[in-house]
Amino acid sequence: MTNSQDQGAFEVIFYTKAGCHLCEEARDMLEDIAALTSYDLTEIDIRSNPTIFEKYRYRIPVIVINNETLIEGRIEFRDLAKAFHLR
Amino acid sequence: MSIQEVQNTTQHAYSPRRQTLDRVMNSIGRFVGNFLIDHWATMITSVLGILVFAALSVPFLSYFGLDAISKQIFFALHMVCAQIPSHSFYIFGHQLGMCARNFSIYTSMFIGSLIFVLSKKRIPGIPWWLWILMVLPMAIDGTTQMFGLRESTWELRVLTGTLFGLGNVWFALPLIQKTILESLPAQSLKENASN
Repeated sequence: MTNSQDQGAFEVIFYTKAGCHLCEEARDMLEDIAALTSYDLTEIDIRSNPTIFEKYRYRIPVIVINNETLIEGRIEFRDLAKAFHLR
Repeated sequence: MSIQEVQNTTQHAYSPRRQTLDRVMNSIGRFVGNFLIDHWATMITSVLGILVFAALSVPFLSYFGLDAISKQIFFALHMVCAQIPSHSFYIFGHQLGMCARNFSIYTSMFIGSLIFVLSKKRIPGIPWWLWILMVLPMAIDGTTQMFGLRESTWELRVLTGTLFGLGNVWFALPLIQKTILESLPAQSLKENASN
């Protein structure tokens, strides 16, 4: 979800997997965040890399913002908004 | 005015239509009451069974590509469980509808209440101190983890959750049955025993 107007404001890595219900919910939240601020999104299917799969298989959805803030599992919108400095 | 006269006056005060309605309402009330007295434990067991079945069905439905149904069940189960991924079991790589602790609690409660129903509600209850002893491990495991003092393991979550669930049904269900039997009139007791 890249917004060309303000690229580079936030670098977001979204670790996910098909069939993960919490990931779908997290993706909806990221879309809501996109309406409020801009960010560069890299979406990674954890099954594409065995190391990443082992690391995140029991943790997804995992959202890493600017390589420093990590939010995972059942993500609350307020936590995500806070990570984007929206609250 | 004698009591008999008062009763006659009261009966005559209502129209035949009202008396019929009263009779119907009484019989419906009696039917519902008797049904609840006879089947309350079965109803509790059914609700618990539905919860366990729903939690188990989520990964299977996802595996068979029925994500639309699976997703609805998964999010409905959020009403009874936080569904933290790292605290959950996975089947076919898909998360169960409940975390390991809650799944153990509901499964043990379901199995416990099923045994109680199959025993015709005759299993004696446990004393309150044993109930406390069975509940305490989960309280300690859950609170110490919640306050970040330590991180529990799936084995502890299952063990303490199972003890908690079994303790609850083993304490509460026989107590409910005992209270019902004590509050029923003698005639109803005979009818209840014959069912």
